[in-house]
Amino acid sequence: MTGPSARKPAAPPGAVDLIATIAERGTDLRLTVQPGQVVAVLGANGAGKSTPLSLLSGLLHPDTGRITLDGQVLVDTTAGVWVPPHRRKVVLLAQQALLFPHLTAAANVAFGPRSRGAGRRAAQQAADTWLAAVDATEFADRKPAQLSGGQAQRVAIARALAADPALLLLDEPMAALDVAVAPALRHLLRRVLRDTRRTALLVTHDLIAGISDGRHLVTDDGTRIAGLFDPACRTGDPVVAVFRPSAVAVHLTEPTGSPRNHLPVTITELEPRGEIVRVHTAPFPGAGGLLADVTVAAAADLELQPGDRVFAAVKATEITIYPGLGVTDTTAS
Amino acid sequence: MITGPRVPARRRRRAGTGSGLPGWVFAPAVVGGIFIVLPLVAMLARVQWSQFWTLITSDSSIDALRLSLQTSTASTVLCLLLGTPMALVLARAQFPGLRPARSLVLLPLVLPPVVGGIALIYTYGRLGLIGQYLDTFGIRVAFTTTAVVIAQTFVALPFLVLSLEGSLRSAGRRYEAVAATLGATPTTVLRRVTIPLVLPGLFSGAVLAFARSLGEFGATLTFAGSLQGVTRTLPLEIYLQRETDADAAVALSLVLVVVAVLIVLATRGRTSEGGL
Repeated sequence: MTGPSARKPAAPPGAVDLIATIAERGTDLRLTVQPGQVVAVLGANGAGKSTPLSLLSGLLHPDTGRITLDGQVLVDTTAGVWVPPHRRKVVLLAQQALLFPHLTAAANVAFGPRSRGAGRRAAQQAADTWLAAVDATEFADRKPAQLSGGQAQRVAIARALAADPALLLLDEPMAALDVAVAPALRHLLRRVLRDTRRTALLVTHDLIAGISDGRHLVTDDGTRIAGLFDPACRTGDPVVAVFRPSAVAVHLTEPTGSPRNHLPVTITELEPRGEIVRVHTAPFPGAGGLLADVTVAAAADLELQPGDRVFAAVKATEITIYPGLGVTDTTAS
Repeated sequence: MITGPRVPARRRRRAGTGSGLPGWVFAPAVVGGIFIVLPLVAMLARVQWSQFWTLITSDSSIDALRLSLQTSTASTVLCLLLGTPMALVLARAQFPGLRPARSLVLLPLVLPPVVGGIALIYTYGRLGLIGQYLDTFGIRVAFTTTAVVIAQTFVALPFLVLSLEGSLRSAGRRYEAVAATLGATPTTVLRRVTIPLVLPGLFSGAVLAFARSLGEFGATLTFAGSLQGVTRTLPLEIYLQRETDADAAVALSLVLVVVAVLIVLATRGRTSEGGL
């Protein structure tokens, strides 16, 4: 059992190698995750982006393929190997918290340690520790029905991490939450993942959330985003353009001149963040909305309002194009 | 046009408003309700209250009541032990022949109990499929209290299976999947997640099975006979008394009605949605 303040291991677990095909879904997946990475998998709804999560957690059998985690073969269709979900050390955090409704928050968090053979007291201690790590100590004795969506998801994060997974799977864990709650929870998830050097695979339909989570979830340099793919890419190999919200400029009229990439967007929300204002825009088909960080002065100057049609521009030099990096999905092509 | 607060007040009093149903549906619904309640009222009207206590505390009545409660409890326990795994398999497992298996399991629901009793005789009777081997070990099942329990279990089992299977299906598998990824073995998942989640369904299923066992008549009479204190349960006693002492039959019937009402209240109170 590693607590959130436990000493960082030299190399965290979580090396994933996945090759799988599922004929029925037209899926042909290849995915590699290095230990300690937080990998975002992006795709439109219905693109089958949750498939790698189902395969890794053992809720889905591939037709052909081989999956290893830290060298242990989880699935090998040619050798007939199949490790059942409860022996994989792969934990899924989904859109719904799915806390066991008949157990208190503390008992929910203690469930993983108990299932893995911890004694009652040790499991209780782990639950206390993890509830504290997600600032949910006050909810320990409450039943899930007495928790709000954000509170429940916080407990769910504690429960997932208390099970001490080698690999954490995140299936749009913020998607069902209130816009007001999501940023704080995202921050919390980023913090606990970084503190415990957890390897995680994140799935989202929201390109920007994926990138910002991916960037936030790891260290701040953003270099540990290993594989991004977007089935909405139309031509050629799947690639993803990654840029920081701070690299996005907002214009009221269509910009001209220097080689800029720009898009007409509609502002949906203005989120004050200290000295800057984060501009949220309406989602694009097949992807999420865009984020742009502008200064408070600029936002006031441009008189930005939700509902405004503006142009978002990104300097070409600020964009990093990531190839599919072995993440392919035939449903995309 | 009338204006003011009286209009909504009057509307609220009219039956059917707000239900979205056409008004005429209420007429046959009320007739149906009367159809069910009227016979109970008629029977209540015939109860000889002065002799009521004497009638239901006669030796044969007490014997029948005790036997009924004992056998129904035993068969409910058997239903739980056999029916819970059956419901789990039907709701969760996938194998060829599952659909016909479900139909077969539910057969006692639609089978006339007398036919069930005949079938049980040819299974556990002295010359039956299994009974002939039991007989060589000196075990006789037919016309014993064991036979009563077997007959009751036979007819009551589908009630529990059906009720629990419905609960399992509506509970879904999402929590079980989460529990498995958290490291819980299938047995732990069953014990700590699945069963607690369907506990209301299990409870109402058990209550239904108990009620069905308590009311069992045809299969019991055919397979177990009618021996006072051994196989003559309350419904058999009522049927017998009806020939000789109608007042006693009515009094004992009332006892069963009271038990039935208690059972209905118990299930309705505990679960909003029962399988049956």
